[in-house]
Amino acid sequence: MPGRDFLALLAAAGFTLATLTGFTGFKTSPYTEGALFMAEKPAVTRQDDRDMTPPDALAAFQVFSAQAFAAGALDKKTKHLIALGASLAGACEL
Amino acid sequence: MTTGLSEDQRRLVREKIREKYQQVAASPAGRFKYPTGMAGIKALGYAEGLWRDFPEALLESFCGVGNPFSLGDLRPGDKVVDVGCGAGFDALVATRLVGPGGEVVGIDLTPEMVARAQTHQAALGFTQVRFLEGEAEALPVPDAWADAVISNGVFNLSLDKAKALREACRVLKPGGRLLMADMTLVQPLPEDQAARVENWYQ
Repeated sequence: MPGRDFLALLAAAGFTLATLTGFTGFKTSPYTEGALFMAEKPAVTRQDDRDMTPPDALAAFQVFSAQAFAAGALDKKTKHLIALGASLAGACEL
Repeated sequence: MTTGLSEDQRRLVREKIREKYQQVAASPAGRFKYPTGMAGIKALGYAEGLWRDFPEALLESFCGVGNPFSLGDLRPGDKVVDVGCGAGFDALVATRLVGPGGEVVGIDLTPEMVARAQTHQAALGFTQVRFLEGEAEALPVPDAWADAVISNGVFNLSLDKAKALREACRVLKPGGRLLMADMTLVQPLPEDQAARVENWYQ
């Protein structure tokens, strides 16, 4: 999947909601094309939360999450809908 | 992410990047495989009112691979960092978007580019923007300063992308946004190491 490694790097760097939103059509070489990425720095930075969540563990979870939801045999939307169904059935809202 | 390149090859990539962007500072024409200058600006959908009065040399210098502003609006009063600002097109568009209460810092590795950006800034009379020489891996910006970090076709050139992205995250306020355009692999690179080194800085 194009951009997957970069999305994992964004998550590992501490970003959340890292998304490849689309391609620009600018082919910069035979192997590469312009793409648009957006991500957010998490708003929660209370000292308590930082103490309870080592950054490495959080980053590792975000990498896992980004890869789990990355488009593959199923597209991202389908995966999110399955996750929503599973969490509702498990009485754990997302 | 490992680059799969040897120390010598990494050094070569660094040299070639500097060399290329010194030439690009003079003129980007013919140095990229995609539309640059006003053709690129128009193709990427930058609203004309944002750049119509920019100096011709600034429009000509545009070699972005996408339009970071298509990802979300900058708000009046926002503080913005442009990582790898080149001759300053995106940073100066951002300056216009954030207005008199906002602030923009454009950072570039190449002193020639920083000098050009400052010339264009002076021609436009913008006072809310500063252009500084610096690396993506060590941004000359305090922690939690920016509401948004923008970048256009830069992180792909970094030999330590993890570090450069941690820096982008560091300078953002909690809840701040990264809006970036960059090139990404859409098919596997050739196995040939020489071809990989060359492709890095294309």
